[in-house]
Amino acid sequence: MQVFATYTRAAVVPLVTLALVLASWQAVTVSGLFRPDQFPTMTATLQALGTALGTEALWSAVGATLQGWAIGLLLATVLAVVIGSALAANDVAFRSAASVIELFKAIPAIAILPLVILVLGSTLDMKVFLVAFGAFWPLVIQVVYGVRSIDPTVRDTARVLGVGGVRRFLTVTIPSASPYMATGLRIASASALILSVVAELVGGAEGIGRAILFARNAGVTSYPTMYAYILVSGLLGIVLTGAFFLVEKRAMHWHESQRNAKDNELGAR
Amino acid sequence: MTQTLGAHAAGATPAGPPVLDVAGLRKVFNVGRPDERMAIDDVTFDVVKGEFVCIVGPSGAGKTTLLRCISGLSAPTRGTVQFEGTALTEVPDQLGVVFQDYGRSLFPWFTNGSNIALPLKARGVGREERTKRVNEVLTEVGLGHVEKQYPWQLSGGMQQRVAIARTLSYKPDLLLMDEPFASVDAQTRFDLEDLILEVREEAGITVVLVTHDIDEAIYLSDRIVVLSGSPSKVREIVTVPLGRDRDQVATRSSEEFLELRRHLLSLVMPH
Repeated sequence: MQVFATYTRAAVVPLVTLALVLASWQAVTVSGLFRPDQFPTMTATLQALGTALGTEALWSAVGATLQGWAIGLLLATVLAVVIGSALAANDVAFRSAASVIELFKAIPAIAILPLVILVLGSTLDMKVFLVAFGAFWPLVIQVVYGVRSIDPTVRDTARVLGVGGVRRFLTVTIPSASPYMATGLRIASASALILSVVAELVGGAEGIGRAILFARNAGVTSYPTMYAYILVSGLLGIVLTGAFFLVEKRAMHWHESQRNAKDNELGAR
Repeated sequence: MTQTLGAHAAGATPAGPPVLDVAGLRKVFNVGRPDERMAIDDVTFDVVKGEFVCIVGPSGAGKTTLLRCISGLSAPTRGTVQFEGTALTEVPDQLGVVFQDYGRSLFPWFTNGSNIALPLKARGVGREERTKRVNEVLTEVGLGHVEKQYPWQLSGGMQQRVAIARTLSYKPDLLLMDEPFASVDAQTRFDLEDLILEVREEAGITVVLVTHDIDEAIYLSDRIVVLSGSPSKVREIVTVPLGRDRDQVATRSSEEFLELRRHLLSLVMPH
């Protein structure tokens, strides 16, 4: 009974908070504290969201945003794993590249947006480049540290067993470095979504960002739709984070952090 | 006190060419730097086929360093190491090493079965043959069907058995073990000692085992290489004339055992 009550409370409390937030949204808009051309009512927005969810336009926008996110992230990951592992294998290379990587990592990816638009135009290529650029630097650093942190016993074991070359890289180096890579990917995934939307909003590539911009340009009557698209971009972020969490839990089930999490769950029961 | 071993080896075991031949080995770390440190000064010994040799010495005697040098993981500063007549440059395919820390040397991302199959894969053994061999070695080390479980789901003693099975899977000629039983409880330790004696008997494998435990060394060995403190030299090579049949209770309480123990303690204890 006690357990049931705990679970119920855990499920109900966030819902109550959500309801409160929505109610205050409705209150501040209906009462006239905010004008409809600044901030539409909650009901109008949710209605617009309901309508938008039924349109093909929204789903193709979501698809376009996800496409930029996925291709950019994949490209960044492949490059980061290859380049990061190569740098990690060589002390001199690592030390000489470290400062350059730190410098590039410090450049906000958005700062190069005008340049990228100039060169590539309002295209998917532009979006992919921006996403890959933003995701690559944090990823490559994680890969380098991950590969360099390999336990000497693990490395010796691989040598002793005669596991070398590509096989060693795939079966020993990558799994060993994967906790670092997972962290890097989590960070990169979040920033990739942001950059995707920015590339659409500012750069004019197809996607949720551009849909937000179009709704704004369509005038006051479309404002609820604009807010609906903003909510969609937020929901997309939640879905991606959740999906990431599940994939990581599955792929890293062998890792101590996941094993401990499982033990704690069992212990709590 | 350093002796050359031809005579000893011939006396203890059937004569044959040495599987391992270590001559004048020296290992210095950080050569030419202010923190230069000599871990091993001069070590010479050989191991013939089928022999069980333990290397003992006080802690800090460079035992692990010596094992790294004779396995090909680390290059000696001076001297030579020959495995089956060839000088070592890398870890040879026919050499197996079992580390003390099974928790780190078994790959947690692989099941026990995949861990054991990995060296076979690297040697191009086909899938069917691999599965067969995994089952064989698991039986050999006294484990049932744990191939689908992960190493971290097993007890320490069982994990070390998996690690031993992984090494035996590719039938190495020489098995090198670095304090393999130092991280398990006393009972498991006895079991694993007997296991390794059995494996050696059945597979006809040659074993070199590093330990700080004198009793363990006497119980297991045909010969014991006693190292001095760092930088290590061979203090003496002791022949253990206890025969092939050993028993934890009878052997360890026999008069010869205690005599050897007294002798070895006097060698290892600081003077």
